[in-house]
Amino acid sequence: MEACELTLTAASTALAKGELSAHELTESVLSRMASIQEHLHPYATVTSRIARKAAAQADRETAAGRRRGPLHGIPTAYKDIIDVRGIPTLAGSHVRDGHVATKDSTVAARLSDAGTALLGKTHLHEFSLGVTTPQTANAWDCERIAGGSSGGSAVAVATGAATFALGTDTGGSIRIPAALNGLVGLKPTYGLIPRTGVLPAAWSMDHVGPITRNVPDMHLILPTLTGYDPHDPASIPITPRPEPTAADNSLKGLRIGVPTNYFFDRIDAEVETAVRVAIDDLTALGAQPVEIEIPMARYIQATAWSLLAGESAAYHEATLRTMPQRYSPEVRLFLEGSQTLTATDYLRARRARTLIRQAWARTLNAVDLIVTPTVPLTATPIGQETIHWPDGTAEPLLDAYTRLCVPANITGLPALTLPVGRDHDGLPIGMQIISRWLGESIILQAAHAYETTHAVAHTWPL
Amino acid sequence: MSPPHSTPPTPADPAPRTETAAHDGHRNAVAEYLDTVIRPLRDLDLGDTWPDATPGTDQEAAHGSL
Repeated sequence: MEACELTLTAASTALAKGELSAHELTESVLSRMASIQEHLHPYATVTSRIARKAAAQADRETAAGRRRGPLHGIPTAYKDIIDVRGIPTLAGSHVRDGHVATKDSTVAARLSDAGTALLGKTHLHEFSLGVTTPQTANAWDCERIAGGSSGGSAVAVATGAATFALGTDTGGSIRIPAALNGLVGLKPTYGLIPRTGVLPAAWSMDHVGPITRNVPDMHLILPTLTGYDPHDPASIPITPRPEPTAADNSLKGLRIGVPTNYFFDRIDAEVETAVRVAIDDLTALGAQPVEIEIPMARYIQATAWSLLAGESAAYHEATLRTMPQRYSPEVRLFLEGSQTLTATDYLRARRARTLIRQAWARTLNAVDLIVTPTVPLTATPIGQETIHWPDGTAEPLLDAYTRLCVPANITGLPALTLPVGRDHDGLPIGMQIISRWLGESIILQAAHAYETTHAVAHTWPL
Repeated sequence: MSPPHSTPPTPADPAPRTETAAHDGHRNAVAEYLDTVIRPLRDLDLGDTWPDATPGTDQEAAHGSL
């Protein structure tokens, strides 16, 4: 196994024991990046000089007995809407041509202080407003979509071109590409990870989160990323640190909600089978399945679209007026169409969200977790715009990939995707685990138990 | 003699007009689609529900799950 193929946990352990240097690890990851970039294009900007300098410093500090923590010397990458001082933040758009960040985002500053080595900025769907990331190809099949909007971050991690990466998630933008590339992706509780210095898509649904190759890696990253930030109005003032999972994998007594509506409607048969088998596996570990009805299902997509359209149109109002030609036609049309929403439409969605949150809180009093497919189908061929379902209905790609993810964005509840199988083409299938407010620990406990008992060590697409 | 303003107008360059018309058509289609998607909310009885407060600052909810 090459160093670039080590999980964060394994790499961190090897670095701590002196079995591997940050220099060796970073060179291995940069070498892998060079070999896949031409075909898959996960990176928008490569910062190899910064990565090498950080790795050298990490090695010097280690030699002097000043290891900063588990992320010391670990190579990482950020979605290209996360500011790093002195580096462009282009957001996948010509609107941002010539931009260079003047300050670090809070998450970039925290990861830098933790001793990570920044490899570069990864491609995304323009301004996070889409699910394909057209610049980048899927790690498992270069003729299929990477998913999005954090597609570059997912493909970098899946191929060993980053040991972990950051994405953002407004309607599934971490979980969708993580699921389509066979990875673990966490959308944390709203407000748990600060967004200062991160370009918004829709303020009230935006989240920053990590993408990794396994569940334990999440435990190493979260303590660094979480914590109050007075500059993010949504930042949670008192932040509980996610606790490490118990050594034993028993899920005895854990109540897992299995939806009877919404989440298993219009999904691919292979996806449904894989997720239901995984639910059986969680049950075998001691969890108690409980059938639940998802409340207010009819209003979920309507609320999500109203919030996204209203907030994104507001954010882009000035540049849409002054430089509309710099947007891609797809995103420009979406934003211009969104401008037709009224203030009443937007506030109706804000009021509906109040009811949805209350209803979901009641549901999550009856169960500890809700387990669902992450997305209704695996990665589609590049260029496909519509999904035709066996019931004769057709669904736009954007709606299909986001509809199982958006409930957690509306409610702000934590949600994680992890791989639970592959379809007949060998493409990854993801399962989503949702919990109550600040329930990251219980999600990670269940996900880790599943992962451990299935020994689903990350396999390599290339 | 016809007054000058009766002269048939010089045809404008058709290309931009066509492009604008197509663009307007696409934009209107997007707007119409959004209107369709959000329509269920117009049937929802919101009663005296208030808009959600700034999420993420709900300490009661946070402590309730710790």
